[in-house]
Amino acid sequence: MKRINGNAVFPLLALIILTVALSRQMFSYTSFGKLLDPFTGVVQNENEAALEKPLSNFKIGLSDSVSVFFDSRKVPHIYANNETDLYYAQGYVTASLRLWQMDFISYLSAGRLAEIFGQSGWVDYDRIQRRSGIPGAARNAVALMLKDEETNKVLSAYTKGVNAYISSLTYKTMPFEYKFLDYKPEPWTVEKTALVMKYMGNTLAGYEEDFGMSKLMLVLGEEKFNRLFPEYSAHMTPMVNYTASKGQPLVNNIKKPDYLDFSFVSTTTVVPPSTYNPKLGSNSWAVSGKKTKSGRPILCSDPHLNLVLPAIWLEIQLTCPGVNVYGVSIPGTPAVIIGFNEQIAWGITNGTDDVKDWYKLKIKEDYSKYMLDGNWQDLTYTIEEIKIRGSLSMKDTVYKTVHGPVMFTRQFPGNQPDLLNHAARWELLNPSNEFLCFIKLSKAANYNDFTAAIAGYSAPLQNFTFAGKSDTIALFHQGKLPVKFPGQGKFVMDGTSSKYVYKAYIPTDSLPHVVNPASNYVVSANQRPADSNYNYYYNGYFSENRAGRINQLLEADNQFDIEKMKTMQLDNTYTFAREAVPVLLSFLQNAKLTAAENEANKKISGWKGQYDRDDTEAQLFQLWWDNCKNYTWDELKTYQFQTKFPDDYLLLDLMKKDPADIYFDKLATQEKEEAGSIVIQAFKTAVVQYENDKQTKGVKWSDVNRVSMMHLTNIWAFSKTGLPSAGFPEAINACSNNWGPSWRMIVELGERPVAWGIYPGGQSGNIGSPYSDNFITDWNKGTYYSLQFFLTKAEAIQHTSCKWQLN
Amino acid sequence: MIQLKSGLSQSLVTLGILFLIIIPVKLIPEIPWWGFIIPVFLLGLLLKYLNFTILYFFVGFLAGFIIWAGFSIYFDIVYSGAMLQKLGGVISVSRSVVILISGFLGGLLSGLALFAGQYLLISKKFFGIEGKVW
Repeated sequence: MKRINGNAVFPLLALIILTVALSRQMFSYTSFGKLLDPFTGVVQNENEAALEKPLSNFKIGLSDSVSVFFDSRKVPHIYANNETDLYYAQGYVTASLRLWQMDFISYLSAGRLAEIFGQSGWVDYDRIQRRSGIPGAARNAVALMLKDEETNKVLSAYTKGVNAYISSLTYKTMPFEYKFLDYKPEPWTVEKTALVMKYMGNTLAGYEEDFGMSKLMLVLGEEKFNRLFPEYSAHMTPMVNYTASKGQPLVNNIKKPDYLDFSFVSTTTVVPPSTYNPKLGSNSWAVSGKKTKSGRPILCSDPHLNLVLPAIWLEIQLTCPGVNVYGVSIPGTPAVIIGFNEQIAWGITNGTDDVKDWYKLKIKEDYSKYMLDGNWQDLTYTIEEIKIRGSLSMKDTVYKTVHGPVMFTRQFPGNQPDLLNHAARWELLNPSNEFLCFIKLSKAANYNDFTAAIAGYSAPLQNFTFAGKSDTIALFHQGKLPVKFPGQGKFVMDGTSSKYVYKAYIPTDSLPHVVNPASNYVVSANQRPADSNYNYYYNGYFSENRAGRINQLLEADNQFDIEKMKTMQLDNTYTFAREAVPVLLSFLQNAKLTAAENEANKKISGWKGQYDRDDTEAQLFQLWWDNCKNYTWDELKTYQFQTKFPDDYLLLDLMKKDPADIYFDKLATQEKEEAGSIVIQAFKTAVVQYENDKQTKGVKWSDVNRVSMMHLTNIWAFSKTGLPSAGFPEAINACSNNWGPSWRMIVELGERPVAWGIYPGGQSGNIGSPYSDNFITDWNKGTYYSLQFFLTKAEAIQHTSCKWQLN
Repeated sequence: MIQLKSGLSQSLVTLGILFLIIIPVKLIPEIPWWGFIIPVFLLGLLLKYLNFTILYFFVGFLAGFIIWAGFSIYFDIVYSGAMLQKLGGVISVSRSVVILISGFLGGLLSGLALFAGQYLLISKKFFGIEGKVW
């Protein structure tokens, strides 16, 4: 006989507690039971059968059937019968490869990280992001985009495609990161697409120099400021050269604004360095058939962006009647951003103009009004609700002025005391429709179609390079650039006067552009878009070294082919270093050197500025030149604020032409130094540092230059880190620790476009998949893949072995 | 009902039944991930009723461990992916440790369920002895 055991409650309770515990988040992130369950947990994310099976059928609600062919690198080639189905399928395919990435970026952009991660430090990020105005700008952009019939059609179809994928998901098939962070994908929206684009815009158009420049102008005064930080120099190779007759040449004579004094801007606040990387740049050039072996134009494009996993780009071919385009797309947005079709190829580099300007406000204590032209104006505001996982939401007020949103207020001063009660006027915050440009570019068949496509493009400001099959090449600095008086926007502006409000934009046809120049090539590499004869003032973060090197190489040859272009994109030469070494060495001639120094001297004298993988002199030069800068500009380091050093060429010219200049004299020493003694001291110290590096990290350039691609969660185990790499930010092959050539593309147009390309990453966003990082090793070696651009569906069938049938 | 005299053959039969219960239940996606513990619990109850004298927790643990670890290994091999290895990297352990942890969790739940099921009933005859099956 048996009876119920009262004590059985204990093991039963233990069982229940254990089950509940394993289903909940433990150690603040994950639920172990669910995660490690072999039937539905993360091991199921290793399943990539759909990318390997010959045929998979998916019912996703299309009006007509769509075929997707995956080639051996898992690039989808989408064949649809109409444009709506094409973008619907692009949404579906992109989501199935990269859903978590695009979704997470929309959260990043919207300032919604606390919804995923809870309190732990993310609420401040969310607040700053909301106050930057980006989420609001995305909302406003949606209204504008949907008003355009074509954009509306494409965005709606894309959104439906993404949602078709999301609704097919179960816990078992959900991307790994949702399981790991224990949340679920929400439905996709057009707003999320706009947010992804704004996030990209933020990366590209976030440059500002207002506070740094204002402070430097204040402490240096007009004369020294203009001498140390000139707008133009002889070492520039602008994209477009204007003739002097076109207008008043702009001179290196920026006036100090009359309101700018020590009460307007504090030069004693200590501000943490900005995390914004203004050096993110790109190269793109096009060469006319007159300079190529085949007689056909070649276009190259390699955008330098943050190197992350999953990669920023997704390779894709989109085909339907009227469209056949290949290139890279941004997951979360439709069409192709950089690519080619049968008739044209286009590349993009960042404009790097300063389109973010700060206005100092006079605000009432209670944030009800601000002063403009002697009148108190109402501050408008919106209430932003910040949801926090596991806690109550928090509400934040975002104030807005005629200039733009107020980033930091007394209630939330952030960590940027300089920005308190300042409003940002940022071009990125104005409603714009970038997608129409890319939708039209995909279909563009000639130069006129190309200019029509980019005409409406406004932000972030970009340089578009173009090559057409009929041997037209062109370069446009395209976007909305306000008309500024010289120096406007370079310094913090007086927000109490409408005098400093921008009134107009530079007309589109007056923006720097060039078509079929006599040189037979066009180059854009974040250098100045126009020379000093251009009659509009603009400022920004311009890099000249890469452009100079590209010009040099393109000038020197008339027989270009794809192989030569590959060599060019992988060129590790830093032109400045090449020019600087002989100058520096000339100062060493009569110096007393130790044996080690003599050896170093001998080694570097034969060096040609190559930042190659096995090069051992680049690191010596780096140390030497850094010391020269630090010794010379010690005056600038005495200021408490973050300051930047003058341009490298300015210092080199000073060494050559004025070695007795006062700046060479070190503040800390009794004797009076000149360029010679600075260079010698810098060298001696560098040799000691170099010998020390030899013992520790190594001095081969690839020991120093390690590239890392962090996963978006910032978890090391999901990332690829420490890849020994060639290249240098100022060399064409701009590889640096966490940013660099995010896509290398070379296209030769002709009967059939011949294209090569590679990006660091893999087509799948699934970190458990063999296709998530399979391009990285080849990318790092400088290998290119032949891009399979199919002219017909029959070709696609013939050359692929994996097909998705979408209905 | 066939009389299984030896504890060993009773244990083997139990193990077999556990496989036949847990695996099919785990393959039904609609059932929550922990759903298998209910039939295992009921099995414990039934076996006790049938006077099975086995080490309930141990047999249950073994079944759960083999299924969770075994299927983790199986899927990791057929899909040939790197998910378990990457997950292990988060806490700096190898993929084998992740598989062991997975097996341990499955074993713990299944063992505890079987044990709790049998513990619900007490034979008067063996009162006070039967409970010591840990």
